[in-house]
Amino acid sequence: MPQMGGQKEGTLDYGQFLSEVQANGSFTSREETEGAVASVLMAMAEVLPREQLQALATRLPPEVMVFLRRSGSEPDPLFDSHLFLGWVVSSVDATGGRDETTGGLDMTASYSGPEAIRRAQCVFSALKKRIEPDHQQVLADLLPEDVNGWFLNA
Amino acid sequence: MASVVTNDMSIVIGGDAGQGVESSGAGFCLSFARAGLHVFGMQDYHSRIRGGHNFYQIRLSEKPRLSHSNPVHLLIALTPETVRLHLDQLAEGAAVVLPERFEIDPAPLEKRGVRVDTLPLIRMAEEHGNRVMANTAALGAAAGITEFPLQFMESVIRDNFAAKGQQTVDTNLKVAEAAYGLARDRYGAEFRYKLRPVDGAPRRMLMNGNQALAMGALAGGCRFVSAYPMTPATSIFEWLSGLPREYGVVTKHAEDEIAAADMAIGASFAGARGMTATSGGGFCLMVEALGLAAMTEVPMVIVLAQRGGPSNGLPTRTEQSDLLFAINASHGESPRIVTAPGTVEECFEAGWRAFNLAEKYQCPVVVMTDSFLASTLRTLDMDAIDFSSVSIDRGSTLTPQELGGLTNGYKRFEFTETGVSPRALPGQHPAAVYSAVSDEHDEEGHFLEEIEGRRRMMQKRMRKLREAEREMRPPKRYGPPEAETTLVCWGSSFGPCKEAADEINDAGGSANVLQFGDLWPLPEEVTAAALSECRRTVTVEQNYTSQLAKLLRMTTGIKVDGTLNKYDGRPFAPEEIVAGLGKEVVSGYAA
Amino acid sequence: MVTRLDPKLFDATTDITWCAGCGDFAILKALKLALADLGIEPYQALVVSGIGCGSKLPDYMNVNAYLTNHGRPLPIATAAKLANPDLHVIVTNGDGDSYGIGGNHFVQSCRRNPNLTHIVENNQIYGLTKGQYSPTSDKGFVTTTSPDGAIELAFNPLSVALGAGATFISRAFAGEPKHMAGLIAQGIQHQGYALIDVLQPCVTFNRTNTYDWYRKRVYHLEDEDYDPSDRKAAWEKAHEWEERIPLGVLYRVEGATAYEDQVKALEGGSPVSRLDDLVKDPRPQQYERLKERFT
Repeated sequence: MPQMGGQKEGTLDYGQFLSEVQANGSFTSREETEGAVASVLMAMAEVLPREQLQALATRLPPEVMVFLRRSGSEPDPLFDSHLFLGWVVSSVDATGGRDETTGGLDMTASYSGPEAIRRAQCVFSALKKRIEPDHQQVLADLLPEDVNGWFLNA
Repeated sequence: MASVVTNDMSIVIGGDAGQGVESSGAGFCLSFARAGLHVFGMQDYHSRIRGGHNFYQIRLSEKPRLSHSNPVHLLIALTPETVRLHLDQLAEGAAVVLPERFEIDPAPLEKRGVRVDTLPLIRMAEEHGNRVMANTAALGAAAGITEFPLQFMESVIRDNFAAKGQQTVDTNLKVAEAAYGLARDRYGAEFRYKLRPVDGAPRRMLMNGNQALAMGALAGGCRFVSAYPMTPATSIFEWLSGLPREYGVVTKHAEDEIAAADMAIGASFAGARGMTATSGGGFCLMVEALGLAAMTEVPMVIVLAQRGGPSNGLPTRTEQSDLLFAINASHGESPRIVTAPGTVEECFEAGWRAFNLAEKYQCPVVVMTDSFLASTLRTLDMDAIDFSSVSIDRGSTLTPQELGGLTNGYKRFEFTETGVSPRALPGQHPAAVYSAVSDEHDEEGHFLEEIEGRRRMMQKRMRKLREAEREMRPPKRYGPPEAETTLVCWGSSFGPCKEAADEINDAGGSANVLQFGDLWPLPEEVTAAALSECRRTVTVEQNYTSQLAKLLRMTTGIKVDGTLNKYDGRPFAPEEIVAGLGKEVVSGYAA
Repeated sequence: MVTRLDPKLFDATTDITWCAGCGDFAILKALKLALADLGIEPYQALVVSGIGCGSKLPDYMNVNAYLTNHGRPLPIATAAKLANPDLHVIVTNGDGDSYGIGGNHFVQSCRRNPNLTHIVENNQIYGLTKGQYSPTSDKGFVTTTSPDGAIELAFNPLSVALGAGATFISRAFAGEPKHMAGLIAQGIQHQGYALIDVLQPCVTFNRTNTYDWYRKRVYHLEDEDYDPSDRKAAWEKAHEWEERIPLGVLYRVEGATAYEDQVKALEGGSPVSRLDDLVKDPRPQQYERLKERFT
């Protein structure tokens, strides 16, 4: 198991963590910020091994532990960037008003992919501040293709 | 006494639904056919399991006939109502055979010079077996009155009742013999219409349009049929389902016509020759599937056996009112071929030719028949159905050799001069892997909406229609080339038209027939030429809106001189056409 | 001995129009893996779909693909299989396509047991037409066509399949593609109609049944002491939804006989193979005896 870096300045206030993410992403509300944090962490919880989740949890405010908890089984080896984005996109509003031309709702889903990546990176960057560089690399290696890139570049 | 007429008469057997008129009539037809007579056996029945008047009208002749005719010379009445219903059809000197205990008013019959030959048919039946054998007794009596040798009827009785056991066979034979003897002795001498076996006549088949069409399809390589029972198409499906398993025809009675049509497409997509058969109401449900087949260029054969419409209409009666529907059905514009055989022999050819056309042009082919053509029995010479004349032409379907030469990048919808792309079948070769989407697509079968691509692909599909037009047959002319009146027809109206033209010409008049077989794409030039050669054109159709006349005008600009329309669910009789010619309506709706 | 193939063989270059994060990506991946693991080559498989976002799936693969009419892939696929039983036939379509407009064909397929694999991309909404409710939407689900909330009970495909006699009934979750691939492979190998109802979030239009919503509820039947041959147990499990949602094989009939294996007319060859034979050797004399029936 990879070595963790030395302890940083203890677990930070959840509020501070959220403020950082909010600032990173220029999110308009606390709810939106929480949504981003929740969805990104839950997505990571789908794909990281249990030990990594536990290690990560020690670096983050206790309030986020609920998102890192995962029931039962091992991570699905086929979990890829599409699925990762799927979790995050759930927090992105992708529909507009009624589409009076073709029916249903108009949608802004074209933006939801890049927006989801952006949000993920907002959360990643706040995360990375709280963990050592080689810990970051360990995590990146465990993340799916493309997601690891987003993480490292955040 | 008036002279004896031999082997030239019409017989009607009538009764209630549930009295076995259908099988009695068919059996009777077969006995005459076995004696070398030409038979034309037309049924008329209500769409009820029980009750309602049904009858079989059998025309007997030494010459081949393409129509029933009136008057009727012998009426076998299993109900009193039968007499009343057919009274007006009876000739002078005709006879009515009926069981005892029937209360009928003899006056109108006497007035027409018709004899009533009452026989104790019911008693005879009950004496020998049971009351249901009254039919056999009636047929035996009919044979007796016409002095038609009993042995032919006996051979049919043996065949028909074999499955019910030797005792049933024997009892029926006894009943037939008893009735035969009684009728001949009592009434034979006075009845002037006689039936004799024809010396030296070749062996013949007795067949209807559905059976011929099914055989044609089988010979043409059809080994998959999916259908939903619907009168009058059901017997095509049942006949093919009942074949010996060695022929390998896979049939599926589907959950509905939507599934039936889609299954025919699925089977064809995989490379089989798949077919479905239905009537107008079922065809309604197949409309979307037609579009799918045309869009994805999958061959598909649909037999549309028309019946009285609209909606559930007249299920057991005939009509020719789906022509324009068959040509235009399905949204958007796509190629298809519509063809209509006019006789039993033509049904056989249509059965296999439809598949060649479907695979050659990779589009739907609708074969139109109707209740009259589908179910009427006719005698055919053995070689009228010639299996060696059948060809299986798969068009641009890639052969195993051609497949072997394929490299990656096979394009299922490749643009070609004719619009027909080489067709690989799935599962046959590693390089022949392709998409077929029902949205507009590119040559590789993927979704496409771009302007130029869409234009080219639409042109490609419709180009096939122009190609097919070159192969569509011109209308056939029957009769003298320069006639005063031309009866223009399609489908089963051909038979009555031909007989009507013969009658007119024999009586010193001047008529011929122009029969359309291939209806879509209508070969425009040859059609216009054929019509222009005619002096006076009258369409003879079993519909209200003169659909053939409309089609001719739409494609050639030529308006026919008159239309004869019949939409009462009963087929044209030649004499109706002759009589109608004086009164036909100028092109448009019937009066 | 099956030679595993590289799933990349099934990769195509078609432009994928699904939204980012769509659960269909996982289904596509799982199907490719299942086929590859079973050694089935692209040209040996036929994937048939209807109309909908999920129905575009076959076009996004390198495989024989037929995208047909809304609700109609099942009869088309069934007949393709009858015509050429050598093809591995798979149907991929959505919940509306399968359980709504295609409902009759779905029920009939359950009792008919044709040898094909039916993967239903069940996102409980109509995606392609942008957000109307579907047969599997929960009662009360608000959409543009159910502004006061869906009034009907949600269609329960598992219980309907069980009632109609299906011989392989399973449920997967798009959030677990490897597990799903395993079920698909089992479905392909099953001798008969195999239903794999895939719970698949529509990330754009369905904000209720999200990945998280499912994660909180799904569990694996394999982790419990569950016997998929137990019909009564299957009935119970088929009705679990609100708090717990079972994944895995709900019901399986061992030794089921596929429809095609009971069609006598297929015993000597298929419609496709027989036609090939006829082209080479028409033998018109084989039909002459049929004329006797009419004499």
